[in-house]
Amino acid sequence: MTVVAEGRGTQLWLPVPPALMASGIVKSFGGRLVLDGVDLEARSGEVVGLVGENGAGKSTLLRICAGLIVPDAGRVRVTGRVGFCPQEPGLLDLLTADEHLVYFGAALGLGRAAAVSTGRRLLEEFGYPVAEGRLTKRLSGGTRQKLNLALALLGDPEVLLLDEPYQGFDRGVYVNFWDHVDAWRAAGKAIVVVTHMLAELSRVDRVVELAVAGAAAVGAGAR
Amino acid sequence: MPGFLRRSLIAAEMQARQLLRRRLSLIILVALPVALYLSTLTNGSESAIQFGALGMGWSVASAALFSVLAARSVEPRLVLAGYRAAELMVGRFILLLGMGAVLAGIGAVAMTLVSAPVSEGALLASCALVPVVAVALGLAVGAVLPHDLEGVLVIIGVVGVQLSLSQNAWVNVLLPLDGPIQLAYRAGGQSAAPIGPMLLHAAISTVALLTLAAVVWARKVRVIRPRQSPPGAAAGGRARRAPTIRMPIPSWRPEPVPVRSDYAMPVRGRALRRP
Repeated sequence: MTVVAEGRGTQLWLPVPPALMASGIVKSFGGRLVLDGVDLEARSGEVVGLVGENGAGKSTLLRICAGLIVPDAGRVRVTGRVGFCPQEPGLLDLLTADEHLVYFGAALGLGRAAAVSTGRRLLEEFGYPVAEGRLTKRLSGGTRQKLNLALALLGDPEVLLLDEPYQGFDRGVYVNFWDHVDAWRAAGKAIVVVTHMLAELSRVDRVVELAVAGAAAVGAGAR
Repeated sequence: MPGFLRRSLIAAEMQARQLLRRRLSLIILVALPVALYLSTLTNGSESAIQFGALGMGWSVASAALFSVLAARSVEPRLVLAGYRAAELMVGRFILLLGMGAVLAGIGAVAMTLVSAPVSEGALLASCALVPVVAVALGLAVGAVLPHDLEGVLVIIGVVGVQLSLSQNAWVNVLLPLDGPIQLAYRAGGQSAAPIGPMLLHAAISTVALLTLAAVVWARKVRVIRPRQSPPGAAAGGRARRAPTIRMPIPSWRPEPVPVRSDYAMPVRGRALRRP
């Protein structure tokens, strides 16, 4: 993506640095090479779809970008705050959604009322039954995932790392999710979505496919 | 309220809410020391007070262990959201200490009334120190050991060895709960040893275990903060507006680089794996 600065009789094209730039990422687990010199970039206002077969290291790459895993080699550079939605909802079974919002909101400097109101607005957009106030352990998988996603969005992060964030969503919410992705892109967020839903790749700006380390490399696409 | 304290108290509150919703666990936490105390008391043993104190330590250490293990998958995400590992650890310490203090208070009153201790001061000191050392023990075991089974076995081992040892065995000094247990011996009239070394033992054990827990836990939940690009480096900086491409597009704009793709769509970009 390029921005243009217009001057007198000249036009100067300036490259926009990526909001997320991971380069040369190498990671092994127990002697098994998972990521071998992988690069990943996402710019503000861009949606990158991260695809690949099971074991290709998609989740590992996202966790490295979030800072949750230390790579063996490579570097990650980020502009702004990272919102991370893990594949397995990292939730506390014996807390309600509101309590999660207060807990996570405090980390962002939000007061109780602000965290709950902001979080509830996000949850309502995904059709979460906010009024029920049930413990997380009594929620369905899809509903837990909605809370998981809302926690990633709390605090309006500049970079969104979403690891199959729609798992368990019903059809309506799933479609609605991609509408939200469009809105987040329009708001200038850099978004990386791990997905197996190839039908939805038309809604991302670039596709990055990770091959299993050692297999043939595949490149990127754009809509 | 300073941010550190506020976040620590929020962490303590959320952990307290979870603990209070585990009613069966709470009942067992109280029942364990009561059972140990009453079983030795009804046998006519003189050791009822130290068994009661050790039972409290066992309960509190187990609660601390499981509070760490239950949070293991969530706390890295909380740290990513903005918590410091120390805030979460302090929050947990505050909660567990509060819970242990309630348990110890009940135990102290019950044992004072039932066992008529020789030294009430030693009994109170023992009951005050047991939860402190036990919380530190549970936090350290939870931080160091990866799974609940290993952690439970270690705590059972520590308590079991303490139970089986005679009062004067030299190995006692290696056990973290020995300070408050020696105070319990003194409360029951089975020891006239000075209190100072017992208090010192408890203090050293607590500091050592808490340090171990804090260092290991901070490492386990750490988040590598990615390098931050200079402010405004990304398009629009904080405004986060997508960069605008204005017409006309100059003729020298580089053409997209075609790459092989398995997708049935127009493709451009670059290979993301090194060949």
